[in-house]
Amino acid sequence: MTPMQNDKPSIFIRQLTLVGKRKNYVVQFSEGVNVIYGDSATGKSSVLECINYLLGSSKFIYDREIEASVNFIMMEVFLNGRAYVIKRNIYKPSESIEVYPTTFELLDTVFPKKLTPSFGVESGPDGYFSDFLMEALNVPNVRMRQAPSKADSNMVRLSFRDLFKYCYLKQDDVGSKALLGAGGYALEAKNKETFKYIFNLLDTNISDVQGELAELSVARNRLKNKYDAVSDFLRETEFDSEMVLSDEDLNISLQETAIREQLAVVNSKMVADNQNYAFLKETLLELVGEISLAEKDKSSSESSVERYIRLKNDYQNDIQKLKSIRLAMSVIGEPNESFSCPLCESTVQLSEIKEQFSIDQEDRAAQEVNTLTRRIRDLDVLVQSERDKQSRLVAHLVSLKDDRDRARRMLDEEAAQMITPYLAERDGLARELAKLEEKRKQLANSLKIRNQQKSIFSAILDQDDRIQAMQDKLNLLKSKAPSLQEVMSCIADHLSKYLRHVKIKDQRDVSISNRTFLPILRGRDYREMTSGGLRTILSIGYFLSVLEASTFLPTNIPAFLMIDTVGKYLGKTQSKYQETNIAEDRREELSDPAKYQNMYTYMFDLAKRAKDKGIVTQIILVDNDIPPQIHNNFAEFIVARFNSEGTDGLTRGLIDDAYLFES
Amino acid sequence: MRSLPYFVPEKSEYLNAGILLLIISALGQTKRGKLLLNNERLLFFMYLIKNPVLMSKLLLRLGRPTVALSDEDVFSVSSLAVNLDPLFDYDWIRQLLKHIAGLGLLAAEYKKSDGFLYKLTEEGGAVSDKLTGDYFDKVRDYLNALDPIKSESTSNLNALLNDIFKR
Repeated sequence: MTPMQNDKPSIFIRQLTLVGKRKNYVVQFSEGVNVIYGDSATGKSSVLECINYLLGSSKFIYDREIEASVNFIMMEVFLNGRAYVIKRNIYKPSESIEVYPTTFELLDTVFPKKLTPSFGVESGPDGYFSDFLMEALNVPNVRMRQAPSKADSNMVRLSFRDLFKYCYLKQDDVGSKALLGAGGYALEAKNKETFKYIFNLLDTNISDVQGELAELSVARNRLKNKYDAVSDFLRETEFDSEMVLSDEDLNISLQETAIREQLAVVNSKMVADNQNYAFLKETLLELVGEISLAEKDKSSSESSVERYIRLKNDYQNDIQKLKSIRLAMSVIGEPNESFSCPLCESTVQLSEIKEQFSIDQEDRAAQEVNTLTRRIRDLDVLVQSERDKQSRLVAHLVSLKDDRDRARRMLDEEAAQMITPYLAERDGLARELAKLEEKRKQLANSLKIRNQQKSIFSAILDQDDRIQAMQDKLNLLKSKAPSLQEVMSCIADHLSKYLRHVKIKDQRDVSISNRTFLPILRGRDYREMTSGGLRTILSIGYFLSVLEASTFLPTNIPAFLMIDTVGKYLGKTQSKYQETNIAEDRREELSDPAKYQNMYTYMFDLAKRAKDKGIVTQIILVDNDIPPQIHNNFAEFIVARFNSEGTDGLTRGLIDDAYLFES
Repeated sequence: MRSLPYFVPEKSEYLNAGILLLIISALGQTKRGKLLLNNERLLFFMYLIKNPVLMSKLLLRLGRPTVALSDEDVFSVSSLAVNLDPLFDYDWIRQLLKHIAGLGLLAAEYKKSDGFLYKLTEEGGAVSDKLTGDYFDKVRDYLNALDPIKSESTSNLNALLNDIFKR
């Protein structure tokens, strides 16, 4: 960072982040001039509105794209050189604003302050957001008369929002006749008081600073006591020191890595063993198939044997019978041709029977016995071969069943001895990992507590700086109290320089009105000018001149300025702004690109002058278009450029993926 | 029938005539000389002798000591499929009776209630005594077992056999 002037308040925004539902949308800024330009309705103005909202604006008007895409917004900002992250809910303006005294990178290591956004409601334990900002900028917190001309007027607090009116030139205000509440009595009066506050012109100036100084000392003592109490408490509870805690953290992350590696080894082993398991299972299936085939063979062989034996038994019966036939033939004898009836003694003829018996020849029966005996022998051979086959099958079955049982056993063992222990080991490791993660979380919390203690200490140092700066300011004010006239002429000098640079037509009689505190050109008050373009040039010039004057004079305003639509009424405006006399604009030759370009170059020069003086300056400009010269020569100042069609490699807008999700 | 190329011992006229002689000799009369066998009973006992498994079951039913059956009797193709036809083949038994009657081996009496009742002539008795060995020894064993039931009424025997078939 550039070395900072201790007694000057400063604001430098480094990054704006819209934390979205699908992704985050980020705009980065640098010191000096930052230009955002592009087509209308691409979210340019939303960037400024986000910043304004994060600096305490009471409402944020978001468009449909933001509503559909964004959860909350935050920005990293340096206030008087110290980093803060400010985080705010865009849908609930009354919800407290979170402020982390750190950068984005270290966001998780500290606890945020929760600040109340508006004076309208009772403040939480951490106080009001405006007070925080005033304190961070180290400017006096004051009460002002609501009606400055009346001594008994009610006193109202001057808030950061009042101050910020001189830092933000909204699109509606650029070239507007109602610039800074002009025309409205109460608002104008308050803004004039704010102006006086900015340049230390209030009657109560010195006493304000003295009061502030006293308050700062009180606050410092309070911080000191808090620090002592917290330190004592941490010591008494034997809370580990930051060093021990971060060592422990490192240690745990090393252990975590080791365990993760172990886990990976176990996982890969398990996979390898699973391959074993699959192989065994396949083998087992094959074996079971073979066994069932062999058993089928065996049972068919058994039924063959049964059939053979039955047949053999029949043959044996037949042999017995054949042998008996031979006996019966000889003993009983052939039937007679005729015989006397055993009952009636008559003769019976038996010629018809004879033929049937011709087959019962003795030799035929003997032959048959031989045949059957041979068949029995054949059957015995068959039965024997079937029996042999059976015994082979039985032996095969035994070996198959052995194999099957072994495969089953191995499978069981595989499951029991290999996989189960892996599972146990894995469980163990996972448990260990979970424990470590838990421990780590606790450590992170402990570290946060230590950081919180540290942040109190650094707050004390900051407070010392503030006291010193306030003391310096007091000394300066005491030695050389600025007068209104001095401030006005200083601003008028810068405004005159600006107008010469822009090369407007007639640059006579430039001054600042003691009555309205607004510019006067050619003896005519700002509000009485009919050319909107001229008012635009003047209003911008006035804000720039206030900024530059603040780099010369003791002041309570940061060198920070946001301008929405530099080219308003300069031939580049949207049709909704009608507060101008076109003929007048033409007579002033305001659509001349050279004038437009000169405004830009003046701002670049101004930022450079301030930087050379060691003053932190940031100017954020939004415009529909910028002079081509600027685009070519000052490309490094362009922080964002949007194109609604997304052509030429440009992003389509702040919410650059909204077009993908539109219904 | 002549032309059949194979020889069925079961159907042998001589064998069956021999069995018939042995049945009449063994079961023909009571101790007191009462004749028992008409055609129906002869056919019944012939059938039992040729189907020893059935015979064994019948004896068991009547609570009589059964006969020792050989493996060949029990474990054979013919014991698997029982043929009922021979039980009613009266022509066949008449043919056999004619055969032995023609040789003067058979004597008969006529009773009005039972029809013809048979016994052996002296010559028939001598012939039957010579029928020994091989299958005839087996038949004699069967007949010994049947001796205690030779006086059972025909209707009772038929009823029992029917019962056995139904099972």
